[in-house]
Amino acid sequence: MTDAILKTKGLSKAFGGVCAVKDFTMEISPGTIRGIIGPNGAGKTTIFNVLSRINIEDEGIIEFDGQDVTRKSQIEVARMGLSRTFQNTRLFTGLNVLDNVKVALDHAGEYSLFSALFMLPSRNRQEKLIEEKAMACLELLNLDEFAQMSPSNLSYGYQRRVEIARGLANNPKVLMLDEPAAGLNPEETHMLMDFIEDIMDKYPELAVLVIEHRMELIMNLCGHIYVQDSGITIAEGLPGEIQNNPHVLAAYLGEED
Amino acid sequence: MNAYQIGLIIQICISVMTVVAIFAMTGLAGMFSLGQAAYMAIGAYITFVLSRFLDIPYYLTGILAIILCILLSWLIAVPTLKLRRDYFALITVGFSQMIVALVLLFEEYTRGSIGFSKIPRADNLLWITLGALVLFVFWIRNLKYSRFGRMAIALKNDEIAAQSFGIDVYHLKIKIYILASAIAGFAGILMALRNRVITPDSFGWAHSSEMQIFLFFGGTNSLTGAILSAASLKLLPELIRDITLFGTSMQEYRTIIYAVLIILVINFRPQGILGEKEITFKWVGNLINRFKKSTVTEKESYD
Repeated sequence: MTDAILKTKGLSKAFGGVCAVKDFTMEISPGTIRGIIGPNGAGKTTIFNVLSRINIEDEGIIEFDGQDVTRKSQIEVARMGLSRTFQNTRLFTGLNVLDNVKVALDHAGEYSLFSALFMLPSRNRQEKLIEEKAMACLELLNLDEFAQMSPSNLSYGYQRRVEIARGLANNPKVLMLDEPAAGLNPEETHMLMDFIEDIMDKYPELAVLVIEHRMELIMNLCGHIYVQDSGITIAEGLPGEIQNNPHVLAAYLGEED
Repeated sequence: MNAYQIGLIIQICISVMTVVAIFAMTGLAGMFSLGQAAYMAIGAYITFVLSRFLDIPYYLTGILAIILCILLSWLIAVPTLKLRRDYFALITVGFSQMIVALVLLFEEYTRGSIGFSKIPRADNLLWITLGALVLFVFWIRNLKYSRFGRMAIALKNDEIAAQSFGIDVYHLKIKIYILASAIAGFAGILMALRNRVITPDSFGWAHSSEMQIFLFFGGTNSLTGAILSAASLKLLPELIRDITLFGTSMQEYRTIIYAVLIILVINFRPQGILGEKEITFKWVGNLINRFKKSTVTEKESYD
């Protein structure tokens, strides 16, 4: 697998003396879904934060789209096509659902502050384009009827879907989902799985990286899984292999004395 | 209309103008500044002091003053907008006090605390002010509903999330701060033309915080709320001017009244009077329709 879109090698990050991630190595190719699982405090979200440059690694290499991104900022990797959702949904509460999706497209909007202030035709043309793209994303996740609502009035499951729509808006190369099923009931979780499959059909070149607690979701979706525990990768491989790995069982269920 | 009424309207327009500019900065992008009156001072003093001592017409020095406001706000924004929000607010207080100190220092030109009063009379000031007000409201309204406005609201809500969608938070804040400061500079020139005298203490942080109070009273997320509250709170002291309490005009209790109002608003409606609502033509239309409908159905029930 040489055509990986996102690769890390020997990634480590410590907070104070606590090692959150140690020597994490992974890669993901376009059109595939890979998962990271592990108990609480295993450093899963830290991996996402380092990949999206919210935290800076202590050592290691990150290669995204053929470029070394360890020197790049959060804004730069986002603009290169690395998109993510957050574990505790971080929708912009001051904007309605549609604007939340639009805002992901706005940094690339092609009109100046001047034409915005005077409402020139170029602004109106661009706004229409942005709106069409945002609505298409909402439709993909079956959210179009909530477009004008405030995200804080939506249920948790819908908020997560808005986050995914927002993450997809800018046509990313890699989409990272941070516990997309946390707080969802089984029915909503199944719907989410269907949506992720729809997304993979619609965007065949998209690579999706999922952090999840729930075995069910990750076993069904992912082709390849990394298991983290206390910052260390204790196992990796196909879902079937993971399920029977004694280290994984020990991390999840505790060891026999 | 007599001169007093015209003067009052101009004063209210200037107040609304400055609060609209602050709405773009604080309401949209979440930058809390207590130094916007300093830009009014720069606008006013540069325009009229230079005009007098260099003997240039004041509309030319006015343009120069606005350019200076833009440059200076850029200079202030570049280092301070990297700081956290609260530090930014503190630095703007310091900046406004610095401008006041400079005015006092250059007493020879500005006449210090006595006040600079060699300001020419402007014809049609009312129309110029109204025109400028309409333009600025149009601008800020368009800003709110453009990609810049959305990005600003996003960064106010959550800077880290905003950055992970490629929003260049820092440069966007600089742009909006410069826009707000340039409008404040222009409002300063108008204020000088209206009052015909400028004193440094009218541009201190007290004036800046008054603008912030107006904004918070109407609702930081509502442009129309900001406009209405700025206009009504500016008008209020004039309305109660003739009422006396303990031998002084109620107008003198202005600050106390503002303080009471702001405490009431913070307690009972923390998001401001209008909250996030905007009074649009459509909203007013719906209201009228609903009113009509309710009167019609009332009639029908009688029949």
